[in-house]
Parts: sequence; structure tokens; C-alpha cells
Amino acid sequence: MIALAALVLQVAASDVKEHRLSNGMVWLIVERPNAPVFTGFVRVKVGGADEEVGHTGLAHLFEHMAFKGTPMLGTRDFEKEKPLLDKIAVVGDQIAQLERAGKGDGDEAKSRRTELGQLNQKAKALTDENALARVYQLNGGVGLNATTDKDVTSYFVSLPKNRLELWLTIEAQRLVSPVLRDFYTERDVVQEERRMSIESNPGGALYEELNQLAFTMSPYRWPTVGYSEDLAAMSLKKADAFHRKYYVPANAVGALVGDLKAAEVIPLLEKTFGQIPKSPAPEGPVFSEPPSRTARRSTVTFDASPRVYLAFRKPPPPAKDDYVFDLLDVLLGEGRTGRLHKRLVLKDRLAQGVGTFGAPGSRLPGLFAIGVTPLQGASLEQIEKAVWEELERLKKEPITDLELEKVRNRVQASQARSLESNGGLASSLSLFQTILGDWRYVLEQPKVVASLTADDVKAAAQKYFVKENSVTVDLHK
Amino acid sequence: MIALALVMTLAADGAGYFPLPKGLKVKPEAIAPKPFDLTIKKPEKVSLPNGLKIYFVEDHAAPLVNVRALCRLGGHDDPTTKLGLADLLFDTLTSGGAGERNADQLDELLEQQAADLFGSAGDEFSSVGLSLRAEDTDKLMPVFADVLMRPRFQADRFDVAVNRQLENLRRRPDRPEGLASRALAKAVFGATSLLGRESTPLTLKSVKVEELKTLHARTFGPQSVALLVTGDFDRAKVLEKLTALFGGWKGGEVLKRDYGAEPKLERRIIFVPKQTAQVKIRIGGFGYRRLDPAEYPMRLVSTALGSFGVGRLYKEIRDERGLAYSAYAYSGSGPTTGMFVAGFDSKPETAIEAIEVALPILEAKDAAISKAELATAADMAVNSFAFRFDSASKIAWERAVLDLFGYPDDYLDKLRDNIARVDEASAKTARAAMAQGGAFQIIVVGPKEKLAAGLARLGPVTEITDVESWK
Repeated sequence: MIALAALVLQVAASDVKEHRLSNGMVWLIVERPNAPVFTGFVRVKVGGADEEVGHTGLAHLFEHMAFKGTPMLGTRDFEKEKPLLDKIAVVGDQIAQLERAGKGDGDEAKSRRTELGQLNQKAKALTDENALARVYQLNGGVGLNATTDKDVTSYFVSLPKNRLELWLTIEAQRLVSPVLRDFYTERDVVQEERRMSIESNPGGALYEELNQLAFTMSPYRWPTVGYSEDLAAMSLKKADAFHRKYYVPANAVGALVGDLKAAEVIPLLEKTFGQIPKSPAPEGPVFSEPPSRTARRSTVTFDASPRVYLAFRKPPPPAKDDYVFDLLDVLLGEGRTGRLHKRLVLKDRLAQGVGTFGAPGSRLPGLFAIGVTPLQGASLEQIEKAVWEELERLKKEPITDLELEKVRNRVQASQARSLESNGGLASSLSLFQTILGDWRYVLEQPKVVASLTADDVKAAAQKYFVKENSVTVDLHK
Repeated sequence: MIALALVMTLAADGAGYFPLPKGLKVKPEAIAPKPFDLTIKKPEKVSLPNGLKIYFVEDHAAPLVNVRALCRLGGHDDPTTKLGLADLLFDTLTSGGAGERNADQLDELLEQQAADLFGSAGDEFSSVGLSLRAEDTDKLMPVFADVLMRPRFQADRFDVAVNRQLENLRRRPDRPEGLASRALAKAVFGATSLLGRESTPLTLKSVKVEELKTLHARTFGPQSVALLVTGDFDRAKVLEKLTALFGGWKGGEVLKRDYGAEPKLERRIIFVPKQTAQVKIRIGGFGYRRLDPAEYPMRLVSTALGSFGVGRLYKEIRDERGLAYSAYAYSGSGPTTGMFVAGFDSKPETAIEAIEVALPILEAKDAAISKAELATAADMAVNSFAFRFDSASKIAWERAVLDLFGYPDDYLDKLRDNIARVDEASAKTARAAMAQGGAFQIIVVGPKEKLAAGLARLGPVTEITDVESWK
């Protein structure tokens, strides 16, 4: 218990200053004067799970578009640019409709593409679409990036402390008023990202298959990057509507950690993000995932050496059972003393490596997955048998006090390590505020895991580690 | 009323842009940053009487301590017939038991205390690290000393390490980008050079556990290892402890390396057939020798050509044409020539077009790097300087590595001035060097049936079906 107290003191609840703007956007600020820099995060509660069937990949494509600037950044004359954007939207969406109708290679589509190319050339003469990235970088920005997953879209960068107002201004502008410049070129870029991360990547291909197989109705079943056909037919009109619905302050969270003073930050927040009008927060996805009555299994053929995922459906945080899976993550999958490493890598010599992870998100019921990289000669049957034996053991034998203590120690230390950097702390606080509506989960999670008992673990193992709840996917040549 | 007005404005807008509130109509570039003084933080350096260098940086923000050993031994020291030796040594050093503890006992002790021990072999140097809770410093520092000075290299863990490395080799061809980068290193430096060679199942299997022990005894010691201690500790107490633990340590030979003569490059197109949805293209040549003053213009020209968002390659290939998710180029340093690399991935139908767009830029056939581009690159380097000192571990690590490579003590103090001094003339010289006289090694990995005709358009093509055995 002393160790726990010492570790959580690193970020006490009182260190986190919470400020809610009148438009509903929540900001979390932590003063850390160690170095003259800060990290800023803006997260929007929208991800792949909020897309509609037929429009997969839109949340991620939108993240790309948010780098194209605003009316104040990336244009030489926005008033002249606007009519061109209108024409581009009309022609581009005609092409999208033709793609959707399976007429993407026809003469009409070709003619429209030529027209679109000409309009894009005219627009480019008026724009500087890399202005946002350039302004951040020449102001010393480091780690400029954005990510989209099934739950959340996140924008972040670290800057020297004297660039705070610059960051707040740009981020407020692009949250409320991004300009979707060169939308159709960016769509092609995302197609390349899909080829890179899934179609030519065995791990990505297997992960896509895992989620497709695990869920029947849940929007967690399709990949965040989207399907190629949906991307080809994506329209600017759809992206536009997506922004109006989800990119509202009540659906966004900001975090700032670094060498700054909350008393100085808050007036700047009011001056920037505080200017964005209030809009209602959107509803989350509505669906019913039918019960699974059988073990699900599939095989992916790919020009690569074998690998396998064995996964089990589980509830999302903050359900009590989800904390048990946090415990199991350490017990089974962490380090050289993790039970699965000891069994598959050290004892049976079946695997090069084994790990556990949660997937594909945390807003909706998801998966606890075990990933195994087999050694040459090890069969899938041998590996599955060994994994299942370890899982069955959890159902029968209570885990020891020593193991419980190890898990507690490691969860607490992992938390301390993950919060050590400005970026790590800003990321964690903003993530849980966005997903669960409460950043305090970051501090509470190690305490709840520490309170779990051997009986809790046994009960969860008996409930979840059953064939009917399992999903197994493997990949081979 | 305000909300209603907004709805009306929204309705009046077209697709792809949205109303900007009046209070946000500000040009971001017009926001002037307030200047502040940046103090360059330096670690405290202490040398024990036996020559062991220790770098200290205290940081009490989190109750954690990191101890790292920087070892002057790496893959470049592997004998030709035993490539992979360093990888196996650093893997088994940290997994094979130490002192009075066998491998299982060592693992259990550390992981029970939530400590993380890792070893990682690099090409020119390697590292061993222990991340621990501050309260465990007294208990676990001796364990770290055991790992460095008294490893057991337990035979069964050595076997596990060999099998895992062999599996790595088996999986090397799975990722087309791995094939491309391996082929590029061989093409630029030569397949038998220290910089281009790679381990094979044969070289790995030829390593015996006794050889790890012999190599460790010869090369680990205060002359070849530096310690870095960062985080939440009491410097006086830790120094006392380290003196007691390491004061009697002796030896540590730094092995001599022969990098051979600089190869003469001629332009080559090297094609690696692989059925993949996306073609991987890597274009390479020489960078610059470490400590060469060319570093400063090379850095800025690299940014102007190949940096995310601002580089010419990125703009032309990604933004203008949507041919790739990303496109980059940079000139890096090394013990001899260093390496220049440009890279991008594109679908088979557009891969050749992407190469044809890239080559004139890389060959410096377009406009010279402008003063404005140089100024942007310099601003990027200078304004992000604070991030080199934003954590205790970074401060210690950067200085220790600079010392290892023989950089002067004031290298970081002068870095910003040296960057600011880069002018168009020195940038032109750097760019000409990066253009390699056109002698690029162009590696293309992708499906043959879709690429063969386009590749032939670029020039004579050398096809290699097996990167591992390619000489």
C-alpha cells in the first residue's frame, strides 16, 4: 500500500485543473515546470465506430483533412477559394456517385475526373495546404500528429512554452472551421495507407479479420482505415455532414501538460475555444450485438509466416470485469514471468513471442486478445492447446497471493511510467475524459485492480474463457 | 439568438468549409511568441578511479529510477562467420540469470518488484537498462551490477534466444519494407561490409554459448561501459553504492573495427519481386561522416527535401499527386560515409510515376534550395531544440552518446549557431553531395508482372529473388 501511495502522488487529483467552457468543452491542465515545453491534446469522441455501413473510413479520412488548414491558414485568398471549393464538391461528388454505382471506369467518370483535375489545379494556385504542418514545425513543434481509432480522433503536438497561444488558436480554428482542401487527392493517400497497414502487412490483415469475425452488428467489426470500395466512393458532402455532427465542443476534450500556469491558460482558452458556439453532443452508435453460440474461427492466406490471435469478448471499462482483464493482461502476457510466456516460449518452446491486448476499442464491448508468433515447426493445434490449458488453469486454481502482489506492483509502476512524460499524462487524462467522461479513471484504475481477489479472477475466467465466447484467427501462406 | 444565427450561416456555406467565429479570425503566423531563455541542461559526470564514467541527472517528479549501461560493443564487432553474436549476447545477458540467481530467480525477483530489465544490441554500441521504483534502488542496484559483471548466460535461455532470433530471420521476408531496407544497405555499402552485412541462420547457429562468455569477459568493463542514472534518487547515496559495486571492476576492451575502403557507387535499379499490394521504393547513397561540419547544411537540406509536411518530396509525391501516404528523404551520419535514404510506398500502378517524380528532386535538377526554405528548416531545428532536454533520461543519454562518438563538450552549446550559419552556398554543396552524382541505388519491392515494363523504362534492372543471399 505504501508503494501505491508513493506512485499515485506523482499525479494527485488536485494537480489536475479542470475547466469547462460554456460551450461544453472540458479542458484538463497540469502544471509541470520541469522543462520549458508543453504537450497539447485535442480529442474528439468520434471514431470508426460512429460511421455508417457503406461509409467506413470516414472518421480517419476526416482526421487527414484536418491538416489541410482553415480559412486563416493555408489560403492566399479564401473568398476566391470558396467558389472553387463549391465546384470541386459538386464534380467530386458526381464521381463518388458513379463509383458507388460501379461506373467508376466509364467515360462519364473519366470526363468528370479531368474536370476535377483542372479545378484542383486552379484551387492549388490559391492555397498552401501544408501551412498548418509548416507553422507548427517552424515554431519548434515536435511529434505533430493525429490518430483515429474506433473510439476517438486525437490531435496532438508538443511545443516550446511560448507557443501556447499559437497552438490554441490553430486548434480552435481547425476544430470549428477546417477547410477540406484537396479532399479527393487525400482519399487516394488514405487508400495507400490502407495498402501499407493492411493489404501488405500480415499483422494488419489478421487484425482486420479478427474484428470482422468477432462482431456481427457492432461497428467495431470494420477497420478504422475503412474498406477500399467505401473510400473510393467517399463524398465531400458526407464528410461535411460528419463534421457538423461530431466536431462540436461538447463532444471534444482538451488537455495541456507542461511549463504553463492554469491561471494564464484559462483566459486563453476562453479567447480561443470559448468562441466556438454551443451545439448538442451527438449520440453514440445504436446497435444490438447478437449472442454468440459457437466458437468462431477463420484462416487468412497471406505471403507470410504464421501467426495467430485467440480472443474473447469482454465488456468495456469501467465494468468490474474489465479491470479483471487488466489484471489478466499482466498475469498472462507481461514480461518474462507472464504465464503464457513461461509456458509457450520458455517451457514448451512453441512460440517466439506471446502477448495480450485489448481490442479494438473501449467505448463498446470489445475483445481481450492473445497474440502468438509461432516458432517454425510448432503447429496451431499445439499452440491452441497450450493456451487453452493455461486458461482452464485459471478457472480451476486460484492465482497466488504472490502473483496478485506482482500484478498490483506492475500495474502501479506501469501507470507511473506512462504518466512520466508530458505527452503520456496529457494523453491518458484526455483519453479517459473523452471515453468515460472522467479523467479520474487514470488514478482509480490501479486502485481497483489492487482490490481484486483470486476469486474475482476465477469467476471471470469461468465466465469469459469459454469456446462459445472465443474467436480464433490464424494466418499462413 | 447567436445559435440561430449560426444555423443560418451554416446553411449558407458550401461543402468542405465551415463558418469561423468572429473571435477566431486571427492569422496564426501573426501571433508573436514571447522570447524565453533556454538553459541547456547537462548531466553531472563522475569518473570512478577505475575509469568507469557515470552520468547523473536527478528528477524527482516521479518515484522512478532508470539505470542504463552504454556498452561499446555492437553488431559491427561480430566476426563474419558469427553474425548475430551481439544480439544473442545482449539478449542472454539480461535473460540468462546473473550472480547467485538463475534465470527464473532473476526474472521473478525483478518482475515481482515491477522492475523492467532489457538489453539491446545496436550496430556500434549497445545498451542494458533497468527501470525500477525509487524505493527499490538499494535492493536492485546490486542486481544490475550482477547482470553487467556476473551474467550466467544460462544454456537453456541461450537456446531460447537462438530460436527466437532464427524466427526473426525466417520472418524477415514477410514485410516488403524490410526487404527494401536490407537490400538498400547491401547495395550502398556492399554485402560484406560491416555496414551492409546481415546475419543468416548459418551464422546464428554457429554461435556457441561459451563464446558469449568469452566475449563478455573481454569487452565488458569500466573502459568500455558508461553508466547513466536518472530519476528520483539521492546522488550521494547512489554514488556511494555504485562505487562499492563497480569500484573493483576492471578491463573492458574496445574492439577495433575495419570498415574498409569507401565503395564506388554507380546507379543501379535493384528489383525484388514480391506479391504485395503496395510497392516499396527506397533510394539511397552516401550521407556524411560523423563529426563532419557538413552535418549542419545536410540537416537543413534534408528538411527542405524530405521532411513531413514541408519537404519537396513530400509535397510533390503526396500532396500534389496523392501517390503515397508519405515520402521522406534524409542524409544521416555514420562511422564512414553515413547513408542517404529517400523512401515512399505506392500502388503498383503508380509506383514508377512516383519514382519519376522523385528522381529529378533527388538529383537536384529542380530549383536550388531557397533562402526561405533554409530559414524554415533552421527555424524547425532551432525552435525544437528544447525537446533535446525535456527529460532526465534524454539529457543523460544524448551526452553519453556524444561522448562515445567523440563530439566536443560544447557541441550542443554551439549547435544552434552552427545551424544559423548555414547559407545558400553551403546548402548547395550539401545538396550536390546528396545528389550522389546521380549514382543512386534504387530499390523496388513489388509484383513483377505489374512493374517489369515500367522499371525497364528507368534503365537496366538487376533482379534479386533472395535478399539474404545477395552479394
